[in-house]
Amino acid sequence: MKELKQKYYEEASQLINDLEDAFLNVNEIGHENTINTVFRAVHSLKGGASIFGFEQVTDFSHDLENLFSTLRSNKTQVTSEIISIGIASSDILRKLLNDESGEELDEKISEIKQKVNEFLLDENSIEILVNNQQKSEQHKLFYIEFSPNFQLFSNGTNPLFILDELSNLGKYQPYYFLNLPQQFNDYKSFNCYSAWKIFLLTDAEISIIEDIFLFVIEEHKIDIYEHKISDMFNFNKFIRFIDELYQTNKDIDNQVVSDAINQASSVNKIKKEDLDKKLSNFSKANKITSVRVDNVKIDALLNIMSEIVIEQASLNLFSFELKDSQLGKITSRLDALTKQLRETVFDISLIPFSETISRFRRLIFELSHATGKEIKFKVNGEQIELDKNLIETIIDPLIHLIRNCVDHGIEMPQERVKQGKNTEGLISLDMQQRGEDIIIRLADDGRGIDLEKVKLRAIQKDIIHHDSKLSNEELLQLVFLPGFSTADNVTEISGRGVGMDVVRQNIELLRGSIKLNTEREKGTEFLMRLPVTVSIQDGFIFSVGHTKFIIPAQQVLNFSSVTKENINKIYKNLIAHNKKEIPVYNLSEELKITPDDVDIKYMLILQKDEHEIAIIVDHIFNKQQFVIKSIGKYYKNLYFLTGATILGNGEIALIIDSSRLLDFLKNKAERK
Amino acid sequence: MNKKILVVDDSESIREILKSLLLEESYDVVVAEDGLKALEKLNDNSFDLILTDLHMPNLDGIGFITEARKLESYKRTPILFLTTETQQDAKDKAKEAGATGWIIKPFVPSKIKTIVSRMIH
Repeated sequence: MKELKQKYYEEASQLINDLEDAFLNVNEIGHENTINTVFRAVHSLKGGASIFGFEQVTDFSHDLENLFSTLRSNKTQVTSEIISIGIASSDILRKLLNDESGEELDEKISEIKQKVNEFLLDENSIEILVNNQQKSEQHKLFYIEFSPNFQLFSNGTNPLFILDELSNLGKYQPYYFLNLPQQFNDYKSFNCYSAWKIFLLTDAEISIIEDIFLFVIEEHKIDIYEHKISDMFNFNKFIRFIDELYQTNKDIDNQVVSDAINQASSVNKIKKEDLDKKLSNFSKANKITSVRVDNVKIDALLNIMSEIVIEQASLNLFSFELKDSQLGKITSRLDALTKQLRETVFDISLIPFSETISRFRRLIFELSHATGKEIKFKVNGEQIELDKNLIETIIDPLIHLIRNCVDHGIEMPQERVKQGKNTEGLISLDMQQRGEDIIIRLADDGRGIDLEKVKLRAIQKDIIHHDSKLSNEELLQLVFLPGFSTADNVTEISGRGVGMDVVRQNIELLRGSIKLNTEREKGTEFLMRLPVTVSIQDGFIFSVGHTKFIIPAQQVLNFSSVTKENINKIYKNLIAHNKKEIPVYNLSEELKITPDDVDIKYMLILQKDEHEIAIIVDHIFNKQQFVIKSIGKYYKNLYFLTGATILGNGEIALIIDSSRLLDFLKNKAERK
Repeated sequence: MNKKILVVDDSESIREILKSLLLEESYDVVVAEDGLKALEKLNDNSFDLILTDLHMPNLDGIGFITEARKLESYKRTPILFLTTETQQDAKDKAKEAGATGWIIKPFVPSKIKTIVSRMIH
């Protein structure tokens, strides 16, 4: 045995020398020979080593064998790196064979082993890549556009058979398009209105595909695009079509396209995710439907627009007085453009309410978790577009109201069951545009507001006297007073910070109104009414005495002149209009303004919501666009004035809201 | 039910070759030696495909195709004609007359089978 071991030792030494020589003489014996020699040497070394107990030699040469067998099958060139691994290995093998050991050697061994493994990893991946390349290059992606003309059927061609034959060639994905005539009368039942766009992943040659279309290729539009898969993303037609599919939400997740994409990505060594990103970026890039603009810029634009409108009004007046026909023409054209510009600018500042809805959803979700209440949130009309300032201003009030609904309105599930309700409470938010107003309704199906509690609270807080008789409606209005809260406990969720008074303030700031309805155990609803356009409107200018007023044009139903005599004949302040009796008010009397002494006055019939009201004024002027400016709190008692505007000649006109005016005048009459 | 094919050619050998080829594919085959005879057959049978030569006595291929297309029941039946590669002119005329496609003479049997199966399934 010992002799044999000695024999192996000699043999092995020789093999190691051969191995070393082979590496050193790569240039003479050639790459392939070198690797073959080395492989054989390592293989023999390994064979004997285990028999004679050179465990470490076995182990080490095993790794080398792996490396060189891979190099051999890949026909890899012997690089200097391989040579250095080989020479270092022969040193190690020699030492192992001499039963040397020690830390230094172990370190060297593990170093070489690591190098070998790294090398193997690279080599194997090259192998995979090579395989892929060969495999995928056999496949070609054809993109075929087949748009036959109307007469396709007339010579007995059945396009479906053609498609069928194509489908037999490989993986096939058709997309069908129908080009029907615009007019029904142009429609002929025997005409062909169909077209197809087809992906075909096949190893067939283009000539075979052309052959399938042989009988139709001359008269009909057939485009066949062949593309190497590895080159697919430079294939504009393909990319454009994929994009089209994205946009029309057609199924692009089909086998053919995804296969092609996968193959292309593996060949191009692109990660699939990158590719998806690339594709989706592409489709997004083509789909730019909106541009983000800084709020500040929009505000600036709106401000400038307001100024333009005012200046335009001055120009109109000036041109009217000058009576210059040339100037008149230009002015009227410019006026029309200003109106268009105004509308466009407003449109820009409108954003869909839906963008805000997610905040409310989130809020309700979180609140329902915090309280243990089950709540469903239903939204209607979120597609409505509103002025962004308006949205910004109503978000906080809405959040507050929603908190209130969750906290005070919706009951705990157990309590709801006792009431015979669903365990799940419902909060609904409805938005709709009615004329020039946006109506927002927020409702819950909770326990409603306890009016007795409201009354008690109001007495406690010295808001009302304990024996004052208030209608339910009036009691509810108390809720909006500062410092009023009916919750038994002030909770985390509501009852802190902003109260209902702030809600009302915010809404009134927008010249809107808020109403509250409630029914015990049925629920509560908040009805908010807000004007659509916040800052610029069309209006009629009229005057009473020296005071000019302006009223939004939409609120004016009609106007007519009336003589003094007729005014005096008006009975009980009512006139008939459209078979209805509507109240008439002489503004100069009601507002205590000395009227102009004119024989003929004007009667304006105003309408807002369901209310109609007639007012008598001294003069009516033109209709013009006006910019609403706040008049602050000084006119608080004259709450029918919603603002003021600067007229073309620099005068100031007060803006009237007809429904508020009616309310004001009614109240005034009652107080008398 | 087997699909029925009408083969029209004045050369008996071609008629027979086509017939035997198509029988192999288990189509039913009816033959006619010229356009006039073929037109007669059209009325008694209901063909799924017509295969016709262009140069024939009595009524040639173009005439036959034109007439066949006038018949309500053959408005949309595939009609193939036999032609040589050089006859672009004839090809155009036949297509104008209402032919669906063509088979180039001299023909390869497998090619005929492929084209016919493309026309009728």
